[in-house]
Amino acid sequence: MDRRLLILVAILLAFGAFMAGCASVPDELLEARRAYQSAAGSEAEARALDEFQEAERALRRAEKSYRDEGDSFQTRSLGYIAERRVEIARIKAATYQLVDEKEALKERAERAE
Amino acid sequence: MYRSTLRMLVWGCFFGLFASLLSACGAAVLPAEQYSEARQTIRAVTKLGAADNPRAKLHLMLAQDELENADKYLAQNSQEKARLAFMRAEADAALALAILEHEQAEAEVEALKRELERRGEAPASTARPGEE
Repeated sequence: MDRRLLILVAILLAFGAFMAGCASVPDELLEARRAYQSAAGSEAEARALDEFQEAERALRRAEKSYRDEGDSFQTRSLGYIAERRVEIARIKAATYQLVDEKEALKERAERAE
Repeated sequence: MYRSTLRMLVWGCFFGLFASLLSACGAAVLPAEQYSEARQTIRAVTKLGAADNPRAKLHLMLAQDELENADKYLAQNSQEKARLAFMRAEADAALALAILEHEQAEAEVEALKRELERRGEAPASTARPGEE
């Protein structure tokens, strides 16, 4: 009887810890992780390397804050900032591509003159 | 013996007070620098005309809201929260700026394409990086 009760308590504790772990990750950090994972290793990352490195540093700061203090104002803020940095990097990569395209078009226009 | 202990205690208090004054000054200076950085980016975004781009406008508004929040935290003497609010404001303003710069680059490319088309060239054949 005692053994069964112990097993039940252990299962409940493990389930509780699992649920607490799932629930406490702030949305801002989840969004930042998602945004970074979808952009990491892409062509965009290669094009805007500095910006992606900055985004990665911002995400690392948010992850560290989460490890140190869990779902806090600081973690949520750093997660928010990391998500914005990833978005900035993505847009900058697309802009750099447009700038290259513009240069190529300019050359063509000059040659055509 | 008693005097030397007392003297050490007085010096200890003096250094403690000096250290806390220094740290208070450091904490007060940091948000001020970030405030100006966020403000500068917001000014740059406003100058580029964020009102015409709904996405940039949204992030500019978010940045302005965060600046207001930072002011409130400063008034409540919550330096750390103010610092984070300034950082959020700066990130939103930088995103708005990136959106506008992208829009501007897109417009320039479109204008060049139109110009080439007008001249009878075929701009569609211009290879994009990575598409060769």
